[in-house]
Amino acid sequence: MSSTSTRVAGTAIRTRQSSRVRGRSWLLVQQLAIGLGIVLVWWLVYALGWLSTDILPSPLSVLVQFVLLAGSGTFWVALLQTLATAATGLVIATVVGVALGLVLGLAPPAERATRFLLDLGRSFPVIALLPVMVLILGTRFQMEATVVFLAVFWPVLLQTIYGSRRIDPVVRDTTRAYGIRLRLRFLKVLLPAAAPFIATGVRIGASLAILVAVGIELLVRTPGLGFELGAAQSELRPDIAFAYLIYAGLLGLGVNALLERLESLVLTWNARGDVLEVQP
Amino acid sequence: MRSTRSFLLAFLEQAWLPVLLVVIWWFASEGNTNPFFPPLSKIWDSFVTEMSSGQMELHLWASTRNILIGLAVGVVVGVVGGTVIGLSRRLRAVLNPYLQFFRTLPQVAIIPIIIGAFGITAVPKIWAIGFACIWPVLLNTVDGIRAIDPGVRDMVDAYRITTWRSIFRVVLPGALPQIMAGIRISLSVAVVLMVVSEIYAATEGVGYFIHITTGLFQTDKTWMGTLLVGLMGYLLSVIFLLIEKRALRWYHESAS
Amino acid sequence: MTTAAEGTAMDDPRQSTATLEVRGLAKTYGTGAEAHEIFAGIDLTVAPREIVCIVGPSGVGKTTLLRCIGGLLAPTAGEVLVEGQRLRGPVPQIGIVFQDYSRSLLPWMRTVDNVAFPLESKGMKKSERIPRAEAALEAVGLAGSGSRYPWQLSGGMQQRAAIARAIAYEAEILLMDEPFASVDAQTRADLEDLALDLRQRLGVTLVLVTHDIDEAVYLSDRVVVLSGRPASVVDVVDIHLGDDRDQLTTKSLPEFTEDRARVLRQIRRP
Repeated sequence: MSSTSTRVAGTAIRTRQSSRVRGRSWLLVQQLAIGLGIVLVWWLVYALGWLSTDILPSPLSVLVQFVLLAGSGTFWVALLQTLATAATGLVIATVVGVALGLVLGLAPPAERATRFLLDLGRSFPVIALLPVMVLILGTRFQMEATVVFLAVFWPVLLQTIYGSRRIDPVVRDTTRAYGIRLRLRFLKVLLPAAAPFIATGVRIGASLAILVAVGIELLVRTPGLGFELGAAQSELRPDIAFAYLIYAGLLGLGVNALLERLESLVLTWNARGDVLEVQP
Repeated sequence: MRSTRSFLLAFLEQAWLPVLLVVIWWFASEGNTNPFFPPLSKIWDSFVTEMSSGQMELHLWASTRNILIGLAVGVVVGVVGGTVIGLSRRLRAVLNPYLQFFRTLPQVAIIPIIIGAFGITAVPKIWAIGFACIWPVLLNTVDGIRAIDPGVRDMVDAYRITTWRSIFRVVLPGALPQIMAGIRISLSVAVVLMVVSEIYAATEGVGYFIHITTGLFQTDKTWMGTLLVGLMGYLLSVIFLLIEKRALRWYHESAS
Repeated sequence: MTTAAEGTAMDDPRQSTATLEVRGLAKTYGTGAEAHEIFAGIDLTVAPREIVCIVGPSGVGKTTLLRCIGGLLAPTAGEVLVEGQRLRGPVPQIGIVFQDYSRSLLPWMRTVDNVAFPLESKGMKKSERIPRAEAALEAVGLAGSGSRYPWQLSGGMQQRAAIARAIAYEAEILLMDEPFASVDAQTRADLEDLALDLRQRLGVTLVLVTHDIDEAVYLSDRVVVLSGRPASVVDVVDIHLGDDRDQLTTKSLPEFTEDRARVLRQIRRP
């Protein structure tokens, strides 16, 4: 029965392919129309003076700043600084998180002993550590990277533990039956099996890393996108602040898309390891 | 009797390391003169003093209030919007790039804009938290509705279930596991935004307390506030987990 | 528990009066050169209280045909008439029982609420719909299981509950899509007998899609054989096994073997 419906559906999809190009450009037109609609509403609110111009800039002035920023050195330096902070924290967190996660995944007693700490860690708003970290390390790059690391570490760790425990019991029995050595089991069985979940953890972590990096720049005024955005706002230049906001969103979108592409290149053999809830 | 013992054993298995770490911290920090690492006993003393003065209570209340109202706003808007979008394939396709933009936007970036525009009182903070909480809930609602089995849809059609009834009795319960996962993400987003918004500019709240004590170089109080925020995040997520467990009893039990 | 009065209400023969007519039904996916014709020119009349099985090789389009008859899918040509009325969507005279019971029963509702759900949607009061749902559960042999969740029931019990839902809905015609395909052999035999029993006691009409020829011959008054590409009705086999059938004796009758062979020949015909 199901074979009937799949076949039928498959045929239907194939027949639709010819009209797909037309459908896709029509979709693009509709998406652009939505974008125009948003700008129009924005412009109306602005033009009717419902909100002060100190609060809501005109769409046009934001567009101008958006273009101007792309040609300004300040912007690119700020972007790179934010990226550097986020990337450093993310890389360290991935290395430490994956290593520790695989160990905890392999050793249930260790996992049970650390369960409360893990629960506490993942629900801890790490950005609250910022003032303490500033006291200890000062407003340096090391401090920023450390705070990002502390925030990103948890999702990577939890996803790794989850992934390494999701290993198929049959695979586990097979490796034991054939007496595969520990080192090989670790590298050739456990790591690939957990890889899709680790990848998801890294993707969650990347978004979080940018968020925390921007947050730090905003709060302790270290250089970066967050600092520029806050500065523009306090200089009553909401047009520049909005332009930075849009760039911040595009940065998140870009990094996410990049990691998804990377993931599909590296993890060709496996589906995405998304989980609804990480429960160690 | 047996169950009590196994419960006790499970508790000990999970509790020994946290307890050990606290004990180590307590004794290792005792008598420490480094101003950045005050003794745990001193942090505890400042907690007792602040709590008994009633000041800390007000800060805790302000922070919790902002989180809960903001989260509630985000959940309502997210679920309603997600349902409308999730039910229409066309709307989903058209709005997708905009939804992805808002989802990946580093939400803390809206704080200076909203607070800069509307002031340092509680309401703009709630707006910012609410805005940030919308997106995880909304996107999870859309995904949850999309993942409902086509067989369920056939049943709804065959038995001519009315649209409203199918939304409340079929679509939303079917998407609930994923909606709950979205709310859980939003809860942690809300806590982060609460902290950032209160450190950025505020007159009350635990984040404000941390910020102000840093400026006064009262490190024991800064540490105390920081630990308190962590505890708050933990307790909120534990409470949410209990609610989720109850609401999704059918889901967890049918899976096993 | 149901009271005696409600029990008899369900046992009262419903005596279906609805005739189901299918005229020149055709379904095509796609258009132009890439059009894919699933079936064409299907004619079929099902009398009230009749049991008709539609058989055919897998992939022939049986499920698509059943979805068109049930009003879930619009045909490309032709029409389906229920009591002389042209079908434009699902109608209350028809209840559909899907193959995948685990998906058509909602896991967040108790079994009795699942059965009563279509009635709730009709606007029936709780005091009325719950006794009716419980009576329907009793009719399919699930008395007392209503308060459990569907996932607490076995596969066969879940399919019984899905049948109870169609009965409580007061459908006169039950369309069943491979209803017994996902259960074990013993449960399957029990469910087949339940189908016969329901026709006997309630007077409902049954249209079943199946790929199992033994099942089709055992249950049917007529077996409709679908074959070809696009599929069409290649034969209609009248089955004369009487009203009282049982798994052991009926299946060893010479008539059974004869009819079975005839259906098989038609399906295998190139």
